[in-house]
Amino acid sequence: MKRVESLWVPDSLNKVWMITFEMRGIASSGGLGSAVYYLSTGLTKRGMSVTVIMPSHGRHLDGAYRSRLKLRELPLSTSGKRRGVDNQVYPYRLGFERGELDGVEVVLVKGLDEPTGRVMDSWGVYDWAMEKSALLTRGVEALVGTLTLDGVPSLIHAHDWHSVLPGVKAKLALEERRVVVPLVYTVHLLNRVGAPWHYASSDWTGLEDCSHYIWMVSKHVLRKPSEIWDLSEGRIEKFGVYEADLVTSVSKNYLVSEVIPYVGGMAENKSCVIYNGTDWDLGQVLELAKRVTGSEDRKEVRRKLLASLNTMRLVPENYNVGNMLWNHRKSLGIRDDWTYEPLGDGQLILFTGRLVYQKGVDVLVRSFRGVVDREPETRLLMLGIPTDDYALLQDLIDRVSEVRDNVRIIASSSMDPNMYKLLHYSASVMAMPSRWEPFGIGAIEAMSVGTPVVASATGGLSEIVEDLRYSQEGTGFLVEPGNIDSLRSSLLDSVILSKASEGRGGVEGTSFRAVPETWAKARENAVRRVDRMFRWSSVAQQALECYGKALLMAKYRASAYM
Amino acid sequence: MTDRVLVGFEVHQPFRVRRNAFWSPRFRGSPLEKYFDEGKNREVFERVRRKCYIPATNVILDEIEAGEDEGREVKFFFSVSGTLLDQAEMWGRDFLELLQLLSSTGKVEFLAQTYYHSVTSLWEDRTEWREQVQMHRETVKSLLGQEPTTFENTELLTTPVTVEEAERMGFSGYVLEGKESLLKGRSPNFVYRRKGGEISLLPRNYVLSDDVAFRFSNRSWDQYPLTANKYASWIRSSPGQLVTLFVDYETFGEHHWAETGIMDFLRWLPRELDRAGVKMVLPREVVHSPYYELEVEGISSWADIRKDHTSWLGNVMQWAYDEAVRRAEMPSRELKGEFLRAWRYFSTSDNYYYLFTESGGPGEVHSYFSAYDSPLDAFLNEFYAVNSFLHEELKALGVENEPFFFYKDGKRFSVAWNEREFREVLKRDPSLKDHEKFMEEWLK
Repeated sequence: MKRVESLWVPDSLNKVWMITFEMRGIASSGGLGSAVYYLSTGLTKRGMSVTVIMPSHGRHLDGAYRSRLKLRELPLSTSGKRRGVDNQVYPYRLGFERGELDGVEVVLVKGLDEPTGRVMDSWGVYDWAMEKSALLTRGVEALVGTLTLDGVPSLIHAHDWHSVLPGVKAKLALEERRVVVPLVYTVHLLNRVGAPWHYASSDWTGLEDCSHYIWMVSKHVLRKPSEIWDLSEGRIEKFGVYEADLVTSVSKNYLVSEVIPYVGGMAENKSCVIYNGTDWDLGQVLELAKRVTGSEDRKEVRRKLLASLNTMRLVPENYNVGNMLWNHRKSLGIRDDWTYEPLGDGQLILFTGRLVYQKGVDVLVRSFRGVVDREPETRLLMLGIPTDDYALLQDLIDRVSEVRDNVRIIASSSMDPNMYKLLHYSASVMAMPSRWEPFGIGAIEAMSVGTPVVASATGGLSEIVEDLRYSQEGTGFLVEPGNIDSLRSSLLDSVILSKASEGRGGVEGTSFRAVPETWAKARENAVRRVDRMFRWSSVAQQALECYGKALLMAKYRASAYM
Repeated sequence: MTDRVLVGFEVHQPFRVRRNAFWSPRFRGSPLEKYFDEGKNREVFERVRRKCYIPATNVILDEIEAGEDEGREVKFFFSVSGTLLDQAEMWGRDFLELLQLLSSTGKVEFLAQTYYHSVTSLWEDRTEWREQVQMHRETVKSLLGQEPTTFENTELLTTPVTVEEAERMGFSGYVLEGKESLLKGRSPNFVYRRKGGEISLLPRNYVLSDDVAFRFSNRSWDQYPLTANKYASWIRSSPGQLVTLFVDYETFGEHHWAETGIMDFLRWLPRELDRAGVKMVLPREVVHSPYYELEVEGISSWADIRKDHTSWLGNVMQWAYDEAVRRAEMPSRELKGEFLRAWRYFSTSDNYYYLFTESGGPGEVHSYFSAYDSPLDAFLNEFYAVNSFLHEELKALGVENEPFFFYKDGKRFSVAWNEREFREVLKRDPSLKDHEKFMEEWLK
């Protein structure tokens, strides 16, 4: 820390606080947990000390977690009373557990009495999300209170809306003590959550309504949190963007087309992009392929995997989804023991993801029918995570029944990870027809094992996939979101090219000028592109660059007080 | 939420039968002069041209250009009838040139329809209908430089046969009314594929279309005033794949006068759609993306509340007029030239529409569009005109015998007046061959 007049400002970046609801290895329900985990461990590898602060989600009550994370209770607790809009008093008591996960320090905030524990220690990550967020803020306040100058983090990084108020509280509590620490806020996915000011105020979550400097387009201006809250129309994410020194998101496109229009243009000149990454490795998958199928040849691996669907027993986790599939099992190729009828040899289009409208699965099955009309030997495997969009599922069932011998839907998230990777490896092409997509981790996973991707030109996908038609470095095709015809045409091109690369036909039927080597080149390009841009090591590097920018913004903020 | 919209206009003017064809008949001149009211037709065309066609098209051209400058796609589709193109060629070449300009932007698609905007698709014998569609297709190609790939039948009249025939004629898209009984409860906001066929069906969202066409200037409407911004948000929040809007072009400046703000609405709509995240597209860009299959059953059209054929063929006056028109078909074909053209003008749907008698909402719409004081008045003059025309033709052909009525499946198919016509009808449909045995007796 460096003293500048009456203020303390970090002089270098060596200690980061990550505030989050998810962390892989502790509690995770989606991509956020992986992103936080890999970013934290990546930074640790670069010599930084990282502390992840999150609600306990009850994990400290489980012996397995306790020993794995080496949890021990911190000699610290905090309690207080909150006043509700009903003018009743609601007491809380929080405690802390400290542990370690792969070199990253972890602090879990837990409840010390029943009403607090019921919220903080509930197993579901997003149960009581608003309340968890409010209580986490109180916990962070207590943690800041214990800090000595040596222990002050050089940067606070808040992930998604649940961490906005804890992050802002940490920033403000330090600023009250005249320590200026940069706050970085990452939008992984906009949730558009809002609440009245009472929720954030000192009555409930604990933000003191004191004037402080925030960045407004071109200069820092003095504002109270309540004013900013109203300016944000009570929308927590927008509030977070005003308060943060730097806003990041998972792709440029998502930032520009979704985040900034939602939060306002003032975020534009204090924004930055930190991609997600993957640890999938082609070398490992090749070994795996050899071990499991005895061959590295994609054609061979594919043939064997498609023929072995009758040994994969995968039951949907969602009862209703299972019930609907079961009722139509005859027309979907599902066998009575929840294994699947084998698919014949042919080119394979792979889909992975939740079975929701956003993922464009309805568009996919319709386009696929057009592909089958031209290339009858094409197969589609949908590794779907079941959701409660039953109308969409019924539509999928109806459409899939029309091409029963070409499609299998496996609606389960408990597939063996090795098999999951092998299917990616063996696929001719991966389809990601999302209507919108902040990042699109599925695309980089496929590309990391050399599978080209046909993706919607939206969000992160348009930065991950390079279109073969316009680039020497092409890794697949980009299509118009929601456009059945455009997806059909690109899938068909992919199938023809993949077939040609395996010596099973020419490239005459493609909609653009291609050569038989195009697909092999696309596969190489895909692997190379992931290695260059979407490895956690390079992601940590991107984060460091953003952090540098945040530190600069925080220094400007400090200078506003002078 | 939909992120695509098709916005289209029907552009049509009929050749009206003379208002006093019966009360002060004419016996000299060509059939066109004797039975059709050139003065009135020209007057209406010129008024609409001044109030709607020129200003509205200029707005659209401006906005297409503004869109190009700002990186937005501003796209519209038009269905322009052949009779309107005829009138524009005679009385308003500047409008024709504007249409050609629209075509050259590449942002406007012209649909095919029946050249004479006729109800011939409802006839058992569809030879004439097919010819009119073909004529229109060729006219659009030669005048506007586009080969239409999407079809819109007169007033969106649709039966299983018209859809099937359109597919056979090589169209890949077909605009029809998003009538509930046709969609069987499904949303009009999708591209459908004809069950058992390939042609894509684009159902018109009539609720949203009518908001502009009928309700725009209605002050007692609870949504008055309708702004482009509000309307764009309605389109955006409609569930489905895309919204198809299709209204009379005369909505802009004629049905709703410019003073109501309709031109500004048209001007701002593309911007507001863009702001709401809705992309303007053309039928030819979406017809290859069918979402569901649809079995077309029954008769549908965009007219009135019943949305079927009864606005044109629903009462005895209309049936009688239609019968007279059909009796004149074969003689007109034989005589060709002005006779054939005049006869085809008689087949225009508007001349049938004036004979609609129901009162209430639809009745009011009809009387607004009518060139006559009442349906009865219309019938008297039109029926007299078409019959005089027929008799003139029969005289010219020297026919003195009774007509021969062809029947197919219990329905009247065609009418022949002499042997040549008889054989012509037989050529059209080989299944009528068994009628041949009656010919000799008929001509005895």
